[in-house]
Amino acid sequence: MPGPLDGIRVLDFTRHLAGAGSTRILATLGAEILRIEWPHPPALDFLRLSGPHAGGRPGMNRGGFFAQVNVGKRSVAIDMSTDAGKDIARELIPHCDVLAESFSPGVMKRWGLDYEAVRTIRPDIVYLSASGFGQTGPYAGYRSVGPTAQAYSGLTATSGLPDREPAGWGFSYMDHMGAVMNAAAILMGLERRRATGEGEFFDAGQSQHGCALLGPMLLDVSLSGAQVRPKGNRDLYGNFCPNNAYRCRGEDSWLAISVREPSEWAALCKAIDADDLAARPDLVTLAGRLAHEDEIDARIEAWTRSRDAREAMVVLQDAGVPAGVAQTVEDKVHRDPQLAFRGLYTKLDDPVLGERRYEDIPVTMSGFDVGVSSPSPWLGADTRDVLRDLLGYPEERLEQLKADAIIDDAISLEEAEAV
Amino acid sequence: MSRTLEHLTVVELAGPRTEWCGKLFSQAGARVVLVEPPGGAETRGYGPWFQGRRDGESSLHFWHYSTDKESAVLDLTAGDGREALLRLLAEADVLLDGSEAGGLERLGLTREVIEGANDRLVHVALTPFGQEGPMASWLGSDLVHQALGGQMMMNGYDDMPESPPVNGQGNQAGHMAGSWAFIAALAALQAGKGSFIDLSVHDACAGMTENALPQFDYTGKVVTRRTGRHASVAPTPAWQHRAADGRYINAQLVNVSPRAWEGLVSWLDEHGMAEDLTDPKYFVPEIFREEADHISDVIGKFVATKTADEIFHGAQARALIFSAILNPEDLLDDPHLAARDFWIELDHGEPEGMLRYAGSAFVAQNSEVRPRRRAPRLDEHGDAVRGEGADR
Repeated sequence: MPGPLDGIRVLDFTRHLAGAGSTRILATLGAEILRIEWPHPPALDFLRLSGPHAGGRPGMNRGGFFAQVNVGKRSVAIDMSTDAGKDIARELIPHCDVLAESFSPGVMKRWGLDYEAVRTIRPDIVYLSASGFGQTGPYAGYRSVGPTAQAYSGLTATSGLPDREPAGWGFSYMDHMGAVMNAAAILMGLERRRATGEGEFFDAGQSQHGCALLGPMLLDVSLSGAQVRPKGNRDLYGNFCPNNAYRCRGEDSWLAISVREPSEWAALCKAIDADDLAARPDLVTLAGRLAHEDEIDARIEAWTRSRDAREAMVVLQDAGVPAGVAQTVEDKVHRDPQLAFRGLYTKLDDPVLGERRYEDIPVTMSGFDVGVSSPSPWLGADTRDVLRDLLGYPEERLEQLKADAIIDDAISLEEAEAV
Repeated sequence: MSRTLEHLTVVELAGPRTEWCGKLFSQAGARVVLVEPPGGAETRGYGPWFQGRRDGESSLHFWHYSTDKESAVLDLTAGDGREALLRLLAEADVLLDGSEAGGLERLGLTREVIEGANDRLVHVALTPFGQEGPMASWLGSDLVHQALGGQMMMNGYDDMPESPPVNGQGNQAGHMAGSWAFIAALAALQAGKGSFIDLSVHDACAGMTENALPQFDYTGKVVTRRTGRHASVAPTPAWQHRAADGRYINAQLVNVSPRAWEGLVSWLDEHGMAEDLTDPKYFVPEIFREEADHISDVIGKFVATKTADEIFHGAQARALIFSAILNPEDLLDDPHLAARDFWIELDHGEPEGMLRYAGSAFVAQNSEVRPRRRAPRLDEHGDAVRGEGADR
């Protein structure tokens, strides 16, 4: 079965997770992704050099995180600093539905490949420029990675324990959400093209997407002048109570519990043998419980402390109480029956990387085959096939371009291991 | 200007799981009919509130997530409510269904019945854990999903023994899942045929923890939480520093170019605070890594003498990826968001008047992705919606 994006081809100049994560999503849905890259800046994706590395040894084709972000794509190695390289990229444009890039603002224009230039070649192109702060505005030139965007947008400041410095997010949440939003922009452009036949340009700023993810808070502060300060794991607006992480038996073991409905509260009290709390009419309502949150939290933790987190979770969920262990990645891989049932971790084999786990996508779609199906490409793995099949370059021309260091390829294991 | 998805019609069964996906459609101009149960959507009862008014028409949460939507009350436990829904679905492109696994089937709205009404419909079912499996009947929440998904265990404090893992605030599990629902629905539309999309919030969260899985898969090691920075398998230097005005700075030193390093050192030197960082030995990557704690200390001392804004803009001018850690209220006066026309004013009529909302972050050139209308009052469009298709 095909994927829903079968037949969609993407000319992909994205880098890192926020950029390249977006075309990964399109790849898992069936699009053909042509990564344009080169082993030197500016067309190098530094993620290729990031760890962890297969066998602990660095190399362009040995990076585990790069592999995670670039499953199912094709790699076309072109030296974009040369005129001949830029010409090849230009020749590819008529064959592509989408162009996506995540360089600093100005790079694509310098290469003659900005939206205005590309649309003269392919008028219905869907073009995404993804950056930290967008293409315009006083901070347009600012550099950003996930934690920068999280810090700027308020996501970092609102996460933490009361009266402590911010906890941060512990990972690049806005690289993930940047990738998701960038994929969403491309798909909106494709959907509009389907309806109108017209192309579209999206100027996406990772930091601004972070701000959009705090919508109710921003509406609140704009209306009331309120200050938003962290409250640990309690709900900032009291929409759930109890709502916290409770210490369980063993080292650094925690169970999250959230209650909103009176039925959930009754079930919780019964499960933790707190008949006295269940009998109190003032605790039936959310407002009543919020007034006694410390007392309730203490009672719950008195129950969880001596219990195994996973067993306590099952007891509570069986009783109808939302509860979940704070899982590590090891827990998710080895101790989560639902992720195993859904097949979130798909294993793929690659001669350089070995057999590895890849995070699959959170959806199944009837009538379509979707998800992770082939590993990430070696740098230049598809250069020859793409230029031959799409542009009709004869073998001798490919040889000459390679000899002139305009293109590169990696079609044998030796070549893949050499860089 | 035309709106990007103005040709689409979406039916959203109101609930905490569907609200963000529905908003992504509605702010792009799709017609989104919010089907609410008698008594209204659960999220009409979520704070924060307008002037502390805790009634069904004053939830800022609901207002934010429901801009541009139409509201119609349909009682899906009753035959005429279900018939009205099927009439709506006959003309719709997408159904956003956040009911629990099997919830619609129990009302007689089986997949066969829904496909019978419209075989080109894209039916997105968002459940906490998926339609089937050993945990399919379990309950979730934003906190529970960030716990099970792995976000929480990567976030917290390593300089504070016995402290708990910490979640990220602001309904982020809903955003992770709802954004994926939007992506999957738009992808299905490209193929021009109907589909049933089974989306698990748990899967969505579990698949978004950056480098944690590769680290574990390649090294067997588990990342653990670090104060104000990335979880990691081994200790890392602090990159969060307190500025003179009490606010914090995120001062990562990742992929620092020689130009950025020289800019940083000369900036410190101008203030007599570079200590030994002027030594060219720091250009050697191994020494840079070995001395990371010392470098972090020197930067921390400098940050403590400046305001967060001075550090933020001074560092960015020197190509360093630092940012001030802003509070949400700081953004209201931010010149960049203003220049990018991020904020929107929506008219609530009397007595609320014009209210200022966070807008969309999608900036398109040939069409518009931007909320235009306040959230609907309960059943505001009910008569018109219920009458639609009734004469067919």
